[in-house]
Amino acid sequence: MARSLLGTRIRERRKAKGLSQTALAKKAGISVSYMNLIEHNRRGIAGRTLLTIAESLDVEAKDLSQDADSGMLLRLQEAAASEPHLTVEASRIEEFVGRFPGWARLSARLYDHMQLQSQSLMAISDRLGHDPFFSEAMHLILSNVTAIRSTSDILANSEDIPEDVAAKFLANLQTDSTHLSQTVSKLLAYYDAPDKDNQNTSHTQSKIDAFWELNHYFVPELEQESASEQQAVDKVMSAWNFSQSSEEPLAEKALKRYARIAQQISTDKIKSLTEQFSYDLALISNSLECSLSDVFFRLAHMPAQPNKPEFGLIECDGSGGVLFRKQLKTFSLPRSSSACPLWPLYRALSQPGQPIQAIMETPTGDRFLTFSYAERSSPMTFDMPGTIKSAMLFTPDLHYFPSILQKHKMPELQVGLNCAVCPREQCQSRRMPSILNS
Amino acid sequence: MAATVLLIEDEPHITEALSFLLKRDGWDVTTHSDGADATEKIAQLTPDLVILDIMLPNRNGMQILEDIRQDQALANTPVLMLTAKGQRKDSLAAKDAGVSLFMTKPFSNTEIIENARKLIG
Repeated sequence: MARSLLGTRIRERRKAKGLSQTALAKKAGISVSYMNLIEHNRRGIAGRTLLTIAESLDVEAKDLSQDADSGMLLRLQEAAASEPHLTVEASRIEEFVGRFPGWARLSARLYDHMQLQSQSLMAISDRLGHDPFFSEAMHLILSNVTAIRSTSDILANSEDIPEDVAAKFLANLQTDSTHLSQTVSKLLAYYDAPDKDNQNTSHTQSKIDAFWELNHYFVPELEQESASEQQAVDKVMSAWNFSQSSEEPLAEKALKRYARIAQQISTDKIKSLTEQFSYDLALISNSLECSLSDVFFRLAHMPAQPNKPEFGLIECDGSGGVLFRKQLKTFSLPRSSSACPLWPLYRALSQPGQPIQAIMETPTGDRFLTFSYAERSSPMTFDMPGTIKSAMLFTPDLHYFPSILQKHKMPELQVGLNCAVCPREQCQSRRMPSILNS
Repeated sequence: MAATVLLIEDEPHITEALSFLLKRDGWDVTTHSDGADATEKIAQLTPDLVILDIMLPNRNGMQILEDIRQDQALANTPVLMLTAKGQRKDSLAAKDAGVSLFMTKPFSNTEIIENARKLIG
């Protein structure tokens, strides 16, 4: 269960209203000492007591009881790790989030922006270093400038220069300055034009990520049975302005995949199969005669349903680079780089074709049931091993899987999110120090 | 007798400006624009100084420099190398290949004449 800041919120609201702990405790019908334990997050409350306290504080009960956003906590911890020369009060981070939720959200968002900008800058810098057009343009510019400088210096400082030579040099100056301005104009036009060479920057990923998040990972337009899957995809591409942009090929690929899986495994079908097979995903995959990763994808792209487990999904390539991410509030995922190497997601890469079920427990005590599977992502040939990709479906809602948990004795893994913010000092896989232990 | 210089540069306006400067300074100037037969030209003329651009068609200045240094008859020819790149790795590579002096474009007219005189002593 994610850490609760219920008590912190109660204390802050109480103080804002100028109420004493004694007064609030009396209104709630509980002892002052119990109220003190509640406010220091040592006791939880629910039901009538929560409602009474909320009423006394003029707030909705849900505003007090919303669980801590573990994703935001992680981002703030990563922000602190990115500035090791600054001393931060790491142990008081939950108090900060609870007491100042707006400032915490702002800090997390600024860190996200900084990360995106930093990644974009690196991508652009890399592109400049390896762009043949840029390299050629710079060579031409420097050659023109050299000729202009040398020629104009001669004309300015030579008193005895013959007329015909001076005329030649003036003509050269005109030609070189014209060429220079043309080259610079072309260079500017090149970099102003939409990026059509499929350079993958964090900005391009963030637009696709934003699309998924805004649609809550469910695209009704692609769920309808359609004569033309391509038309449905084109419509969505156009509605979201993916066309004529550098995101177009990636977005089209992602939407086509969605449409294919949605047509093959409708929402009704997956609901029925999950009930029939009690969420045994291997049996579901066999029954559908489709890849297990397609089943993972379907389950992660469902409309919100009451009394059903919530699923997150992460897919990566053979280098650990993130291909797709759907994180949950209680489990944050890396944007592009790899995370804790103990995750079954990465371990599946060493056994493509072998599904893995495991329970992951994070340092905060949150537990997730995970299903991982790696498979080939390119056709095989005799020349070179093909590429592989791995997928991990995960859910915090273990209580929906009693038969799975009973049927299979699965490993329980003590994992982290990433080394910088993981307190597991003795982990054999640690690759950098943690700010939490400094 | 005037000192001889072979100027190997494919940008015509740079060649014209440098030729004018060097001739005005008393040099006997020959120009050449193609990297392919530049080494043969050097061997044929045996100039007192070679001014060599790095970016040339067909064979770059670094390769020509290596050719010169491997030829016993030409190994001691002073070479002033010019480049538009100006990166540290180019100057280090040129030093390793045995360049006498390395200058980046754009250059000062005064400086290039001073360096040319310096290299022939």
